[in-house]
Amino acid sequence: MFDKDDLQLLYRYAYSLTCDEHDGYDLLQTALEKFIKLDIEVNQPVAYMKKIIYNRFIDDCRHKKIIQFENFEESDLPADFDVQTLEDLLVNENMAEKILQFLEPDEREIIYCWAIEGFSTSEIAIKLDKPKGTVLSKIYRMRKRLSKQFSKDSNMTGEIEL
Amino acid sequence: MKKGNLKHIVREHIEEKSLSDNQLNSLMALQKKQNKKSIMQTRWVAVAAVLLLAVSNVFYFGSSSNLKLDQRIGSEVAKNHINLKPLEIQTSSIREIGQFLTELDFVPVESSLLKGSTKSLIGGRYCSIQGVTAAQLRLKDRKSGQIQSLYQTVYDEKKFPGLPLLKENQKPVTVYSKGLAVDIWVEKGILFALTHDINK
Repeated sequence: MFDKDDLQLLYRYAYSLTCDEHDGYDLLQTALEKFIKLDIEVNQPVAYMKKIIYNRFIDDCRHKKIIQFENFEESDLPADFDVQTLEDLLVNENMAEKILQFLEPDEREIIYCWAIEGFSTSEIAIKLDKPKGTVLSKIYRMRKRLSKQFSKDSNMTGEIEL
Repeated sequence: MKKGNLKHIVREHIEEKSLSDNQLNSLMALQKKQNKKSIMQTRWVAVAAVLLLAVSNVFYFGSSSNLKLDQRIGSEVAKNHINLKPLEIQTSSIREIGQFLTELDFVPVESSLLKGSTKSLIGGRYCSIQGVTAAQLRLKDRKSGQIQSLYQTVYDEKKFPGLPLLKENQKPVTVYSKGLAVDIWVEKGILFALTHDINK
């Protein structure tokens, strides 16, 4: 059984994916019902629940057709590019929600792993079960998109400095 | 407008989100409700298993009546121990096990033979001995790390005749089955069976 601290942690994870408090709660509740129904013993129940939450979230996104699956080219990646380069981005304090909403669902998962769990690129790749190159490409594109979008809208929504 | 780096801003934003008390209570209640349901299902399965075992014993004992009772108990206990099925409750408190395994018609107790030993209780589950509902307690030796099973069930002299009684200064009988040794004795109105390595 998950205690209240576990539930809060899982809720924050669900929120980071959905970017909506109500949807985050619904996602957590649905995942919890599934976990209970499975009735299995696992060594790391919180990690297992996160997997259920993520899979459920991706299923929902596919159902709503809000995920665009892209092929990534790694050729234009700088050799020293890494998730830590996201640290260079400076944003206004009130921008977090808008940035999360702007990101693709799978990009939010990367942001969560990086910002909350403190994972490196390699650890994110292992967690997401993706090649490291794919994760790097995704981060690279995400950084470019963030920079473009929020620099352009800096008068209205804040700014990002590179 | 104050600025910060992306990591810091995003982390602060996510970490300030929290479930309300109502939402938390609702999720906790959901878990409790499902847990009770699951326990009830487990109990029904256990009851069904005991009934099935009781029926099969009618046939089994007809053909194996030449086996001594202690050997039959030892064989059954060793088999169950090797299976090492998941615990229904994990705790170091025998009282909590007694409170959790409510279908038992006895209260699990500590044996005087295990007092002061290096064994720690780690949990328990339902099982049966010779068709009688029993508790399977799992122990771990703090020194060797060896996992042992301690079975307890109600002692009925008619059903379990001839087993050693501690109160009459009789020593536990040891039988061997499937590469394990099983000590069997009666104490405090409870039949005990404890598995251990033959090389103990």
